[in-house]
Amino acid sequence: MRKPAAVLILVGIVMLLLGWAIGTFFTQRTVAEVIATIPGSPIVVDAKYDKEKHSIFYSILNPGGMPLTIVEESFVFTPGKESKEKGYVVSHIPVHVVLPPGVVTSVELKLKAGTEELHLGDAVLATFTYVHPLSKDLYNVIHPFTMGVGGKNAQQPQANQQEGGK
Amino acid sequence: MERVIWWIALALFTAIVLLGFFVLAAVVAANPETAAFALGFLGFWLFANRLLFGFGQIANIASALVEGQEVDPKEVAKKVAKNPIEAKLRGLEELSVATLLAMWRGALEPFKYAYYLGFFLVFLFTILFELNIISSIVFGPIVEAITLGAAIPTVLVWGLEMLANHYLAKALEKAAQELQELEKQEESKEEEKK
Repeated sequence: MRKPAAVLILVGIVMLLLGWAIGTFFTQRTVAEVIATIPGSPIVVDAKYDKEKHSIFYSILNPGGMPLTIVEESFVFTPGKESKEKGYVVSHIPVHVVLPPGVVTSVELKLKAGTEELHLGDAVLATFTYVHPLSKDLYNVIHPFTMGVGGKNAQQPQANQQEGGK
Repeated sequence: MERVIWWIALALFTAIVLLGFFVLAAVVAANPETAAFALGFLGFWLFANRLLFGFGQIANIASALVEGQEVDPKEVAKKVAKNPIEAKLRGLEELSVATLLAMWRGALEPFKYAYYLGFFLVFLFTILFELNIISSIVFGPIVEAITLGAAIPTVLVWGLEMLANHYLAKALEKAAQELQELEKQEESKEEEKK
């Protein structure tokens, strides 16, 4: 039993909200479509050494909207003070790992079979070569890993030094 | 001459239909959300049409009654009973316009219920997708677009319903007052006779 003016105001307010919702929805969909066509570059979020499998597991985030494919791995092993192993290089390990968009994917890097397990201070410099669907170019991500020093911890002292320099 | 015009009209009609299909196909291929939005809007408008025009006309006629304009009860009776014989048998001709309008609104009630049910089901689906209770990258946005399209006629139905309720209540009040005055006049006449 509302008065006509009140009805008009109510309907007007609801229509404004509805128009807002419709506009937001279509804008969002357009933006989502645009983002889905932009390939991102992968970010190594975390790296962990697995003793039993003698390999390093990398957690790699794909921040873009397109799937990326890792086609090749290679790494340089540099022994630390505690290790008796000699330094070695393994290159061009063909792999096929798809990194879906917006998700963290686990990628395995097998160390050379028959070598000693990693000790504190051993360093592995891994290079991942990846491609994306828009071109035939090859891209690289190079990640330094030092045994006993986490990926995040390794970067923090550097940041502190930079701050101290100022 | 007539034939020529007829053929031109037919050709134009076919061209328009073909163009319509082409545009529709292009829109669907380009972005299915827009197509779903249009489909939800048109589909729900189809079912809302009777309610929109029904409530609109009720509000219109009732406001005319309140303002004191003369309304032909036979025209309103047609809306309640489509068959004139049925109207006669039900005694609709003896009823006042306000009563007929109330009956008309009552006849729209099941359609309103069914319409709101349909909208609620689509809305429920959207909420399920929005809250990630069920999820699909393909169907989620499409169901949401259908609901947004369906919401436009629903808001109109809701507004017109409130408007019709308001004017009908006023018209009924006025009709009741007139009835009381009539009864008083009759009583006074009877008293005069005595």
